[in-house]
Amino acid sequence: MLRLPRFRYLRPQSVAEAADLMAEHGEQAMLVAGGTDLLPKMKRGQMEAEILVGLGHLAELRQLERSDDGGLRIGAGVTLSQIVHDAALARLYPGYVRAAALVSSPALRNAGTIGGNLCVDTRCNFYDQSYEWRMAVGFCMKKDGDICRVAPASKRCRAIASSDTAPAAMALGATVTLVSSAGRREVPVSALYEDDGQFYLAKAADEIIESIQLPAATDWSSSYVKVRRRGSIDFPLAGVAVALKAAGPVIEEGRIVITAVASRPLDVSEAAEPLVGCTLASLLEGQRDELLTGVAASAARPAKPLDNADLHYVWRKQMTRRGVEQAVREAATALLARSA
Amino acid sequence: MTTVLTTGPGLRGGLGESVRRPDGGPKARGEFAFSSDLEAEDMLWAHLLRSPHPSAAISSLDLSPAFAVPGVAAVLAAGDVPGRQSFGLDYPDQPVFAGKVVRHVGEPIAAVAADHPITARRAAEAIAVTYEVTEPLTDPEAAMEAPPIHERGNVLFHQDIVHGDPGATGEVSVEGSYATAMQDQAFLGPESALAVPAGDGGVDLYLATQWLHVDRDQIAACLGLPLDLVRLHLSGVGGAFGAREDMSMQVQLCLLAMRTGRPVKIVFSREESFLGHVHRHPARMWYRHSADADGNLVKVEAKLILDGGAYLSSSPAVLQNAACFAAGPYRVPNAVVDATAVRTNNPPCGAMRGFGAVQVCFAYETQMDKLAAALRMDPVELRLRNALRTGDTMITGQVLSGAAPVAEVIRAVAAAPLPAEPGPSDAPEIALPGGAGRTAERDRVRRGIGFAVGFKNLMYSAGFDDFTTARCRLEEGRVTITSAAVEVGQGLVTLMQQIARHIFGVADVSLGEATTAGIGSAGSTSASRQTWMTGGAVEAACRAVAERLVSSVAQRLERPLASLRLDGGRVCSDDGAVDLSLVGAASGQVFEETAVYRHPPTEELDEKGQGNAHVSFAFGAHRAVVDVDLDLGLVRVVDVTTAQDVGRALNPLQLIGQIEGGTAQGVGLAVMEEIVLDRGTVRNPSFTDYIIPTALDSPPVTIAGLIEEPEPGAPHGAKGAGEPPAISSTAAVAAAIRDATGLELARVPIRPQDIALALAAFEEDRQ
Repeated sequence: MLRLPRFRYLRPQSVAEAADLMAEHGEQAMLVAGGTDLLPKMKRGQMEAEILVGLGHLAELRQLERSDDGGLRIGAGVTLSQIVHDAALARLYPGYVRAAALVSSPALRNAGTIGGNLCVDTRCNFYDQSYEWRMAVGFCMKKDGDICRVAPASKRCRAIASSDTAPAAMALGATVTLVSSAGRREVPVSALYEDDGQFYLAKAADEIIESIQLPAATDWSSSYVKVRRRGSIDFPLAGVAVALKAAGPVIEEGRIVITAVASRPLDVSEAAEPLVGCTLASLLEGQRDELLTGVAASAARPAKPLDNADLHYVWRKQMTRRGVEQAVREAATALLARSA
Repeated sequence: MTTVLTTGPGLRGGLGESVRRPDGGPKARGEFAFSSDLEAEDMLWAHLLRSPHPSAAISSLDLSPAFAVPGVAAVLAAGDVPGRQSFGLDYPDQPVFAGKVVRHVGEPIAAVAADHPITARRAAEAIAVTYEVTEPLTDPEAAMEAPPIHERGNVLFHQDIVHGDPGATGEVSVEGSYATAMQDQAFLGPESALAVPAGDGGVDLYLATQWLHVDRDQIAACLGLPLDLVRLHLSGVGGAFGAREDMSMQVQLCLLAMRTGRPVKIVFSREESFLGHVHRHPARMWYRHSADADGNLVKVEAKLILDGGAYLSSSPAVLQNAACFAAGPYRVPNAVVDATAVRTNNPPCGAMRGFGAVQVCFAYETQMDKLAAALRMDPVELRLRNALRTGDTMITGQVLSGAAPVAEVIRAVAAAPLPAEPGPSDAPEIALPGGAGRTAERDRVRRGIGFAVGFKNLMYSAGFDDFTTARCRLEEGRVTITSAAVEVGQGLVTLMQQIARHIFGVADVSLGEATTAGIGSAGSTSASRQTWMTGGAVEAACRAVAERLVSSVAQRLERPLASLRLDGGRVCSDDGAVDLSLVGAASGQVFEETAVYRHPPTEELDEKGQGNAHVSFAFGAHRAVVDVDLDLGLVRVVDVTTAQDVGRALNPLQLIGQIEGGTAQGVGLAVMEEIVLDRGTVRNPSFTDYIIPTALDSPPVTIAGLIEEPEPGAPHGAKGAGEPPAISSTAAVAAAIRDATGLELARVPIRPQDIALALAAFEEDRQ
């Protein structure tokens, strides 16, 4: 039977206090909000912490407010379920809300937070195993070992970025506010990630995500496509977030972020450039299929899936292309409906 | 289509009614105590040290570091087993603790009892084992010729069937090679038990299992104790599906309890559960079907290889089933079947719902579709033309004497209306392949329809002395039924009450404890046998009590026995002069009767695989409708329609539950369920990576027919329904995917990559 190891749970009264506790306890401490990622991993020995600093109870992390520029500031402690059930949010940021809706199952969305989902651990089927399994096969560099079991020649860990909301937030150009005892800073969501499955977060361990800022989305629409085998629960085998801008019938800007095919979500917006100047109608009526296929192919080019998740890596790369086409069409459809 | 048997005026809860389960409410409310909820004062926790290697010699084992861990009460290994060193359902070839060698990943090497589960785990980890790792034998075909990995050799069992003229030829023949993956039973309640040492030198074991008495016999042999000092008591079972037929930790736990003199509990983690119980045998199957130009089957040839993994378990019986049912529910005058179960360093395989009939059904039904195509015949028509009927001879030479409504199940399913064809835009996205992920592109989605028929035996076969014991006690108008039969979730507890109500006409029926202490064996809850067997024993025990009650009234009132009867909960005379309640009739007496029920004897198969090996058979058909995204290869099972040969529906609600559950388990094998093996190591021992259909992935199951043709000799005419619904749904779903894609797809589960990459390669070839 797997049991949680012993740990101390600290319950700060504010984010500032949480930041002080993190500074005080250093590497012994980890942050926990919903616990849906961390606690099972502590049972399996994938993560170890003597001290957990709780954030889930802090009301100041659960605020949702309009910002001056017409965007939205969402506290990191807001649960995925709250996002999913917010109709106004779904109108403004359909891709982000859909990504939240596709995380795991209702029970886990009720507990999991949007800040936590941005930090969700990278996955690998040589790593997401019990301590005994990993010991039997040989530990990997992500935990307790020193080589990558998927790509033994690799100098870095090849675990897969598995957050659904991160690519969706990146496509929207979102930022996060990070708080630590040393101060506060705002960075783009894309700056949160490193291309390394082990050290995948670019923030300092004691920095707390206080909120996520979604910029104004006037003239924008967004979409998120998630490939997985079942209708629920599973992590993405491939994920594509798209945001398109069109004030009228013509696309003015496009962003594409792909996930689950590398150790971080990949911003491949350059691949969207051919879309600029296309009319929404031509894209949707099949006149620009070749162009769209080309966009999808170049968007998926950096995808380098390996044999460390469910199903064949060649298939997962193909699915990324298909996901791009799908996500572009979906965002374009929403824009066209709006312009009509 | 279901018939309701009448039970007596005004009485509810009798036979034929959709009676609710006594354990339904507590289970729905989370109040039901499963075996993992057991506890005792001063209890220790056990942990097993398991082999990390599929094949290795153990050159040294040092337990002392575990003893040194504070809180550890006992550490045991090979050498600490006082009785027989090994166990096994068919033959004891599986060591309690691995001694000199380990033969599969997860094989127990040592056991620790400590004051906390984490302490026990850490102590087990501290044990120093030196392994000399050897190359694992994981290919079942290579295993037949490879040097033996066990003193009993690598061929676990071989069964030939030669029927009719092996040289017969048809005008049309089709051939194919097929494979099925290793499937897990995926029950939700992990292996768990509590062993309590007793003052008499014995032990009481509380556990979830499928057959208390056979566990007891094996445990007693290993402990070196007389049977009456080992008492097993049933605890709440969180699903079984065959995985609890074999022992997983029973002996080790009892040994720890006896060594420490304290109660010891164990609960497997999910990963341990994957490694600690047997699975459905992966199969490799070659087939050739020959028919005349009209589509009459002339001959079926099959070569079957089942991978039994490291130990024997029930491989011989599974293999015999696969061989006996290899030709399907069809009239096949000539057959040659060559079936072998082999030993490898893969995880051990044994019983799982369908027991050998599932793998061959996938192959022979694929063959029937191929044959229909070769003959340019409608596949349903081909099946109807060859469908077995009562009086036909099967490939084992056995004449079908019972009900065999094969044509009826086929017709019922074929006649059922198809689900609406979705227009290009009216299906909700959640209903498309990829579901909520919104990955489907509607014009790349193709619909397919597939059809399959299957069958298997009910009860134990081939000369096995299969019996069940049950007791009925009537005291102050209250009926108590006691049996050691195991409720695994199927609803036997409900049925036992229904039978007693049916006979005594009273609503109040209690159930005694299921235990080996004080009652004989009820046999296994497997082989779809408990409705028939324990149903039969309960019926017999109740009838015996009823007879004694009536004759005691006859004696007391000095009336002829023939003038009295038990009717609607009262003992009455034909002339109306006697009309007594049960309490009045008993007049302070307590009546108790124990009955032993046996089905008619069966024979072993001879060297040509001929013989009357089976008592009864159940037949079923499925039609599956799927939508396939041709680019992604994702499959949505839209609808599964089925008809089942049930004999008699004794509890329609529970029967439908069995049909839906069995169908879903077959759908799982068709599209997602697979224990992924990498040189003997299980790559996906968790429910994150071993995926089973969720409610969103499970199709609506439409029941087109519950064919109620009462089975001669079966109590109330009812056939078991636990396994038959799990046999043909896999084949039907695979056929539907083939229909949608045009691909051969000769292996299940069919993965998205099998469709998408094959179609993409096909496209490339064409260009």
